[in-house]
Amino acid sequence: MSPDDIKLFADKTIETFYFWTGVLMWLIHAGFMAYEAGVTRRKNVLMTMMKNLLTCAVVTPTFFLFGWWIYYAFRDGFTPVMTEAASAALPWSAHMGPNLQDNITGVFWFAFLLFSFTTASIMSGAVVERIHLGAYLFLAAVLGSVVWILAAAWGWSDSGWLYTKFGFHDWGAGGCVHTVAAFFTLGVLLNLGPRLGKYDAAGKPQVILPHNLPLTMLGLMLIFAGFYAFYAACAVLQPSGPWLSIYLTPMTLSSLAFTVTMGFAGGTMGAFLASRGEPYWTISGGLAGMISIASGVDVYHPGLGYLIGFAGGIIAVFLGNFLERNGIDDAVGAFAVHGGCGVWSMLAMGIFASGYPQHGLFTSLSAQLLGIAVMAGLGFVPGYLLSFVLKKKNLLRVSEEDELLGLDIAELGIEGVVPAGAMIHSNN
Amino acid sequence: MNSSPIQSWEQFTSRDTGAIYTFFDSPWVIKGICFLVLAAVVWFIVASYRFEGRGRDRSDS
Repeated sequence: MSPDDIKLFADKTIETFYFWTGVLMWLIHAGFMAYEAGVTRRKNVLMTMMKNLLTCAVVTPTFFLFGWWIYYAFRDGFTPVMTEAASAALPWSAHMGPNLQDNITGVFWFAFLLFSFTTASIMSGAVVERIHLGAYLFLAAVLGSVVWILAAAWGWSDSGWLYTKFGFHDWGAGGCVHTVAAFFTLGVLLNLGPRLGKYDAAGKPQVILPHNLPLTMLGLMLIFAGFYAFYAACAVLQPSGPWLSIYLTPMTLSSLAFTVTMGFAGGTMGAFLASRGEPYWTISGGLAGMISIASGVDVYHPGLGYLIGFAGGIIAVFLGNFLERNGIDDAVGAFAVHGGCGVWSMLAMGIFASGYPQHGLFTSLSAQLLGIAVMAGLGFVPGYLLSFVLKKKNLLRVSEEDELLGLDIAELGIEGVVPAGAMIHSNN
Repeated sequence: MNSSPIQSWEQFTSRDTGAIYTFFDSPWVIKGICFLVLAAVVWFIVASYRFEGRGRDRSDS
């Protein structure tokens, strides 16, 4: 093969790799849909699934219009800089469509879009059974196409200020995806309030039973499968030399095979022990473990990944129960799993993996602490403020009557799940 | 905690560099981590026996 042929083959290999990571990441969203549908009561199941579906629909065009541009234009803070890369990310640029000289932009955009779906979907489970569909979709578009990608521009790129000035290291996006989404969600939950009947008159939390826990567990298994593609898409495949992290530091794909799987195992076991064998928390612990190792997947020893995941499983259970006791009705424990373990992921990186060179700087605990503060604040402030405005305009929450009736009947006019043996009515 | 076996950017990007994982240059730490993993697995298996009867106890009461 000529050098030109070799280069073209390398480009097509990279194009193929990222295309399929994006395709496989759809499993996360099939998983989120099943997971949340199983957790909700029967009267809300179809509306919950519609919400998951529409998350993907609304985030796609908004991410195309401005999300991708934000990633390249806001590397230094809140002021956009129109670099060549930022100009190329505008929706009317020659790179943002079929282009025979550019195999890469579309598939990178696609992979990042699937990260955006994930970020918005983290919020969706927490707010089920009482949020207005329109309010949710607006907040999902802001979270999925503005807030998280701004955080990624700052701390999850090789030229973002958190990396270039401080050496912040968050290999698998424990900060810009999980922590940002969870803190945004917490801000929304404070304004949205708990589901009717979640707390008794004395403020004691009541159990709202999931209508189909096996469906929830299947959903999480799909999420686990999709997360391997998510993490694979975090690695940079280049025509020659080793795989690179998003900070362009050397790594191997086998590091995520080792550590993500060990983190999953640790998280599952930790949550099993902390919840005394409760099935919902046990399987959520698997996800907690996979998130807990996110920031240091590229450098952790697998045994250390297991222990960090194990601690993450315990953190998720205790944080989830703590929030529930204190009036935060997070229907799926999203803040506990994504927020608690997202923060733990960045912190663990600073505690256990300081001293790695990153171009001119080294990984450090102080950089990780700064990253935690930035990610938490960047998520919480817009989530709280936007949901506060929606609440004041009476646009955030459905009416009490609709909530009691169930959103499937109230908003869609049909039941998502018909009880076995129900009479079939026909107009014929 | 400085756990990096890599001390410089040149070493990190060298084609001769092998293992880069945390505590690679402190083998006793790695062995201690492996022991903790084993202890957690044993704890988990023992605890799983204890949790098995919980549902029955609850339904009896």
